[in-house]
Amino acid sequence: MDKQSNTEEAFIKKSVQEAGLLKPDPGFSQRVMAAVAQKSIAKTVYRPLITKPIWALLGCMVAACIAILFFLPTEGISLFDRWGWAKLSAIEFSMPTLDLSQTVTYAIGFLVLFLVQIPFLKRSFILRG
Amino acid sequence: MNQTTDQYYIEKTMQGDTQAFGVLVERYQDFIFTIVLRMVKNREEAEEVAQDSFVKAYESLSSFRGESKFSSWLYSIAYRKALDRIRQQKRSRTTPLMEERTEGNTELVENALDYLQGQERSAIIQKAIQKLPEEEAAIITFYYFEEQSVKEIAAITSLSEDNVKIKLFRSRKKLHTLLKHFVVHEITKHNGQAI
Repeated sequence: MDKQSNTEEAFIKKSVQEAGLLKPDPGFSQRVMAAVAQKSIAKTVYRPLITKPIWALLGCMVAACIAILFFLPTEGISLFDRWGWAKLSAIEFSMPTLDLSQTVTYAIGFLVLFLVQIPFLKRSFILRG
Repeated sequence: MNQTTDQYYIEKTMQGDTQAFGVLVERYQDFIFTIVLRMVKNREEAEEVAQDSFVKAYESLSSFRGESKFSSWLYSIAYRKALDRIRQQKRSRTTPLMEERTEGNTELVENALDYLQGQERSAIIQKAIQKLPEEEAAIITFYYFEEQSVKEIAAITSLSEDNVKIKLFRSRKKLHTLLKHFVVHEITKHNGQAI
């Protein structure tokens, strides 16, 4: 930067600092806080996770189940008998098994613990600044 | 130091203490208002945009992760809000400049400014900054008043560092020309004599 640019830069800096800051109307911060308070109320309005119509529907379903149990003769009747699903139980199959040594099991356990800790540690570092 | 105390009030606000946010508003309202006013060029609109910026900051406080300074984060909200308002209004009220060459004039303008009274001088500088294009008016304030680095300004404005440097260079030249113009006009008006 040449001498002229330096002088100009210093002059502009001095001028901008001398101009200072402008002030909003005296009631500005109150207006902002009133708007913020409104947002805050709107934010904390309680909204149930399960709404009234859903509760009504669930109630109806429970009542219907109880009514079916009481009024429909179900004794001695099995859906398995009716649809012949009993045959399904005759099918034999075996689940594949995975054999792990104790050391590998511990290693996996510690890895899971480590991964679970990361978000908590991250949050605590952010809050600490 | 501000950084720590800002963080304290941010945490208080996050815990539901709305009044703690009031401290942050008081702390930054003048700078936010100045930046926005220099961009939107209208006092009423500037107050509206500044207010919207604070409300937006309050709503998004949970997304502030402390990776940058709170002030820079707040300035970027206000800067974007002001740009949105300017785009909405689809206007640009910048004054075309007569010349941008300032070689050899700095001393002359400085002497002329010294000739004026303090308040008068400050008003002239304000008027000159106000005449700058919106982005440049904000950038010059960030750089010379708030002493933000080019890197910080680039983050606030989402411009590249090179672009910020170019805009700074241009705005410095323009401001110098504007100051010269205003000072000469003012002194001629007062004394009936040219400098």
